[in-house]
Amino acid sequence: MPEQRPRRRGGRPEIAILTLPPFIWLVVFFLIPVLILAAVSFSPAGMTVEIFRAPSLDQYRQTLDAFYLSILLRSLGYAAAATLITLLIAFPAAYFIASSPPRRQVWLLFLVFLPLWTNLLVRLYSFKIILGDNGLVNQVLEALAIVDEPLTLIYTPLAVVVGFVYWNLPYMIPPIYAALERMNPSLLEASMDLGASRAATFRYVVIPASLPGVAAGVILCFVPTLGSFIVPDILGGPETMMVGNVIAAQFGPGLNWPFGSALATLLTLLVTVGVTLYIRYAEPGRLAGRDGRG
Amino acid sequence: MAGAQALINRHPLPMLELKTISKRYGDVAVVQPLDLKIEEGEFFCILGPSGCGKTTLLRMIAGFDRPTAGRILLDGVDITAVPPNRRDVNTVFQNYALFPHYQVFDNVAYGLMVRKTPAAETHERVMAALQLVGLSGFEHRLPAQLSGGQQQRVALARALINRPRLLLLDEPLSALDRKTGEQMRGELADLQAKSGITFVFVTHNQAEALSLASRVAVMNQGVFEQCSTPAELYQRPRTRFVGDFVGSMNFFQGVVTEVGADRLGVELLGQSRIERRGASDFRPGEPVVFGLRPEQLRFSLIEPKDFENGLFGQVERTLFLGEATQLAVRLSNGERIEVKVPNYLMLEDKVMGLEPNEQVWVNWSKGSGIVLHA
Repeated sequence: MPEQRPRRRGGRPEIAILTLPPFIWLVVFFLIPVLILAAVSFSPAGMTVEIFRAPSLDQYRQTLDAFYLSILLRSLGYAAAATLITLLIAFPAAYFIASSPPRRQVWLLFLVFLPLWTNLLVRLYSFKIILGDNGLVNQVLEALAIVDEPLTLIYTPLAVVVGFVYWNLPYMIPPIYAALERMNPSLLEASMDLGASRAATFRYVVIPASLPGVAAGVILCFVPTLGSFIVPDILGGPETMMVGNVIAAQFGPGLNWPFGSALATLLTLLVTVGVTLYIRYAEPGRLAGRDGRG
Repeated sequence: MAGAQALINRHPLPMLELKTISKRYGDVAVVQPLDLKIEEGEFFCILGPSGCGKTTLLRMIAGFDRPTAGRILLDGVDITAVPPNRRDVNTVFQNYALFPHYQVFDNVAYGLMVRKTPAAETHERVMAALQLVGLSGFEHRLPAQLSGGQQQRVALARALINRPRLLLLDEPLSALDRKTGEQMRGELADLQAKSGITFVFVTHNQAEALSLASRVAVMNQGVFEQCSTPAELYQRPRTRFVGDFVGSMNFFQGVVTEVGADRLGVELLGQSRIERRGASDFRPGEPVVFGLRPEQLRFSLIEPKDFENGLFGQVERTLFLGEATQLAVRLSNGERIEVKVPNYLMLEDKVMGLEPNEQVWVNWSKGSGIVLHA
């Protein structure tokens, strides 16, 4: 397909050749598996993969069961909460980095990326030590006589969200930092010059300038969190099960590929539609339009 | 005149007054202690090369930089410690600093918006401001969709709509191409006349300063070299720097030979005795610098008459400038003198029929040229 196109577009064969390898890679290792998954999801009721004999929507009917819907809703809730908290922590951090002298910026960014040098699994297990009944947090709280007996922190929704926030920060800070760093610093002076206080300048100049970065960061955090299974698996308990855990279970011990495929396809559709709408809505310039304020 | 006098009497205070203001960054004195008074309605220009401290001075008036020492008074009120958002002063930035995510309307309305001006009034004033700068119909464009000249106008409208006591302009024309810049120069003059707002304009471009300003302060290495009207600046530069920076000037070392009530004799290049009219504070025998503008000089094939002075030399190169031709003449002692001749004197592609390497007299009236303390 791509070989026929360049001619019609006015001929840039070099570009077509250069895009070919990633294109093939994505087709073979992404598009085809996703399509196979989608196909498997149309198997009739039961745990066997039989799409061609009698394609049906039985698996999707099962996903609409209240139990699975509640898990999906919970996943959306966790992802939204984790993304929001990440944003609230990441924004000041990004702002601080962007307003530091250039040399310090390099070091601070290095620190932001540092956690990515270690395996996520190892880092999540370390949270067991921090949040455990005998963990760091409880020891400090007891030493300060704030609590008498250890709080139950690990294997709770709180632990899962904390884990997500920790996991997401290195993906949220850089895009916001990049947007703020790109902002012309004389805009801040212009705003002050025109009579705006620091708070008003932040609201009407800094936040609009950061929006493209915030939009990118939110997608980078929300989407992987929504489908994550490793964080709730390690830090959560039975009541924190997310859609990712259910899907993983269907392909693993559950051995129910058709149902797992249906859930996965549904999630993919949800994310695709959601992100598309989000990008359209969050298009910079629209948000900061005239109606931003009276 | 009587009316003007009454006006001055009613406002005994200068509108803006800088009192021994200075700025240092560590060991570097960017602005040396200096005083300045600007009257209401002036178009004041601070002219100087890059790094002379002129932008720092402007930033101190705007409130972005705090002076190391000294005070700033606006209408007699000390505003040295007042933050920029509470100063009745607006700035047009060198790069315009338009808010890229707001349409032209919202950029211009920004000052009114943060002051919570009613929507109807805001709309009316924005439209009036856009009309003033000739941008009616552009209110829904984003800054990125405008040309440099149009962005410049938006920046002007955004500042003027607040009706500031003082408008500061930081090299507002330097980012524009030459033709647009010259056009904007005219519009800026009109705008200042129409609005009656006091303008303080910072530039490195002497042509802008001379054509726009009512008064010009020439700044060099953190000090004011001279502060006067453009004509005086050009005709009577008080330092060698001013003579060289405003227009251009040939300089020669000389010695005072004679000081009279209305004449000054100077010997220069060891050959001529040059006389210049006008009293002065020079003493005989004092070393001086004699300055001559290229356009004050004339070519002649014969020796200067008694009302003229002259130097003899050989034409070395010619530069065609369009309206004039600039010729470099090598004098007999090895020094070089630049001469600018209007091109209406051209004969068949040659200035006065001069050939390269031709030997000529370079003459000037005894009244022209300036004598400075060495």
